[in-house]
Amino acid sequence: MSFQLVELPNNIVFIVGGVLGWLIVLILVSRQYLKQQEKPAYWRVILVVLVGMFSFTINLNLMDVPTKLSILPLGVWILVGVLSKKSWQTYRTFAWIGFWANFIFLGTALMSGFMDNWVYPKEDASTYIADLENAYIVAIHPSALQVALNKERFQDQLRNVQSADVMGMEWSRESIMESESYYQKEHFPYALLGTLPRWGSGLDSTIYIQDDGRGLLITTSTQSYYYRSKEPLINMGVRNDE
Amino acid sequence: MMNKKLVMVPILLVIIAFLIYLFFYGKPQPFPDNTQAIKAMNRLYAEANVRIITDVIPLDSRHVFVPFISEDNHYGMSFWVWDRFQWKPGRIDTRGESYIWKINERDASTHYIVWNMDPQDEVSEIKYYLIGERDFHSSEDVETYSSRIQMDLTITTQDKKYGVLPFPKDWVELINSNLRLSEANQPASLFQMNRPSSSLYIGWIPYDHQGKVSFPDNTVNGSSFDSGGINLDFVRILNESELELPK
Repeated sequence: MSFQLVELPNNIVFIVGGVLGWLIVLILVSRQYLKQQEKPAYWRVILVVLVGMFSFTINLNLMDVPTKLSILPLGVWILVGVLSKKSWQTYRTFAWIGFWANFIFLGTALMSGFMDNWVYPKEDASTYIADLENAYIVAIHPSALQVALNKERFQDQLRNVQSADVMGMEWSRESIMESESYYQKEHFPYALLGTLPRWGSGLDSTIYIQDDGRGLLITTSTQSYYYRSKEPLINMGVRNDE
Repeated sequence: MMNKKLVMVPILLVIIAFLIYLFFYGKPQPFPDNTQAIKAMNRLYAEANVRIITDVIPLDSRHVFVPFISEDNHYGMSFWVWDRFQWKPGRIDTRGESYIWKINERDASTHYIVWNMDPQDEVSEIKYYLIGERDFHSSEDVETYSSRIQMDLTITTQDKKYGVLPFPKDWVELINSNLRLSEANQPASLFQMNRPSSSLYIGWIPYDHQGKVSFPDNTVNGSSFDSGGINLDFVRILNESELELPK
């Protein structure tokens, strides 16, 4: 059960989609208002539309977009119960516009999801690392060497990286098994901090760099992306023995 | 009549806003002197039995860390906040075990490590660690990997047994970015206030002057009084075997 209007997206495409959805609802309501003879007060119409939106929903992931599918028009039923027979006749179209608005929002959300993939390609490293102005590199594991970041060179290399398979299980196993040469070492002992994703994408991630300086791993809250570069992405130094 | 009302409403709103501002954000007065502070603590929590205040360390204008020694020589800590026009000890501990004091839970640049070691414990060095466990997730269409994070920070306690330490810039960045990621996992909603949770944590290992791990029996034993409003995180003593030591 929910009101779909309380979700707060941080992605510009979804915000535009949300605004578009509300505009469509506004137009539908206005048209109905002009059409019908009985003209109730504006605030009552708005209230009826909002209550009409209240519905029983199921959560669905359609094309990777988390959406809510409304099934039971709870708000409409409440209005039927609350309103007298006469005023129900006046308001009923508005109440149903409220309920169907859920599907308009569903439509705009799906469209936004589609557009979002097109505006911000999820497979592209440059979507996650767009602004390097305040970027710096940090050793996050004792197996790290002394390294340095050359922002311009990194930006250049970023254009030429090749996507590769994420081998999370392999990397973990090799660091944990005593028989492996990576035992107690880390495949990705550096983090690239202070970068910004493409404007308006809202795509937060943690960016790791591989111990050979040629691998880039971007981990978002749901997925990791792994890229290899022919040239080193960072300047490798010597092992920093304390 | 109507006009008068319309004028009154905004004026009232401004007055209310001003009162709220004064109530919560009034400019703090100077911290009470030691005798007063000791009195306030002993009145609130007789068990603390404070004898001497060792130091008064402000974290910001509204939060002060006060390590102390009790009549029976316990090394304790108190956590003071400027709250509704007065300085109040929000928490008093009769032990000096490390804690993280989080002023703003969502921003690691306002998190401080605090401690007050009992000199009877032979701790001449403390190592603090930022740890993130190695993590992977593998299924048909989702593949994730997160590196192990293991960064350390050494504090010597040879001369000064107590202290306040803000996180280094790198730790702040790593923790904050981790918090943002975990927030992205739970969609924001107006009706739910999710407590942010990070998968990174802080641990510590105490060492004696020979560089051997030494368990601080006296420092970890004691009691505490909590009147609320202080957001503390326990800091676990790590076992050296939990650390990765690449050859």
